[in-house]
Amino acid sequence: MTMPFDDTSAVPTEALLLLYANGDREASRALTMRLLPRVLSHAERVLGNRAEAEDIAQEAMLRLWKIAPDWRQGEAKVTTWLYRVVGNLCTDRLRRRRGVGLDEVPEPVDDQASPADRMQETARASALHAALARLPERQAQAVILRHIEELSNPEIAEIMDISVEAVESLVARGKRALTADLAGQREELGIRE
Amino acid sequence: MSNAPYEPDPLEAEFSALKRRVEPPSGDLMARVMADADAVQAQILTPLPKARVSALSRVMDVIGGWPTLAGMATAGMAGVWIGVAQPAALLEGSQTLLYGDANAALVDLDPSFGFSDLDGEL
Repeated sequence: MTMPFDDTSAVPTEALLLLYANGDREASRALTMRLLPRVLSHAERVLGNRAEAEDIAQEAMLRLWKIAPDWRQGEAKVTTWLYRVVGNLCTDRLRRRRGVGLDEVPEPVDDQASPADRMQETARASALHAALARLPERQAQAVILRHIEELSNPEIAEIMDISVEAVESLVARGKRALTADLAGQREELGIRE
Repeated sequence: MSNAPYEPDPLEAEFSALKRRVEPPSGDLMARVMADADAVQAQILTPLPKARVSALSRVMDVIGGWPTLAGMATAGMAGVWIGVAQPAALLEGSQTLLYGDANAALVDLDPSFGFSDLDGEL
């Protein structure tokens, strides 16, 4: 089977990073297309603010470009490293300002749902976003990585530099707190159970 | 267990709603990230400018630096001392080393022995 020269979808991320360090400009474009959406969405979910998430995403990608020539193949996944960088950058931001108002949460982009469903979706997402912002930082990060980014517990443990058991504990405590927090809001916000 | 099969979650509806709320990166952010990538890549590919090196530094590099220079100076001083003082022990030692048992090595040929004996045959 032949593969077009410009088809980078089958190339592993680590190999693309090596190509980038060797001067391949197409590799930087492919890495940006592949990684920036994930980095941005994760930062936005943690911070609840689009503009700040864009700054964080740009900074995280800049750190990736800088580390490219020193990247040691096979030691860690690029995505794991990036999630860790984004997590640390978000933690720094959150320590400077804590709490997200519902007004700051962006509107959903699902245009196919009915207006009623869209309202429900908006209310649910906004309520969860706000509740996550009220959680301790580490719990919120663990819950987002597990249930929104859908990463495995060992991968989260590597990102957060803790044991798998500690991840399980953080996620469990975070979800208990979220459930309690959202229980009171569902009725208030008109969310159907 | 760390990766147990997924079970229905009371927060599933909220998690799903948040998961679906994905807005792709803006063109402006893409452009900024790509500009960073190009700038860093240019730095990576540009060799560092060579620092100016003095003649002394180049000589030192060739001979192996200060430790070698110190060794050379010591050897030079020792040579001068041996030449000036000519220590007796060293002279005896060097004679033994150079000539060894001279009697065994010398062959005193009779002057009458020579190729002249062969003249007639050649």
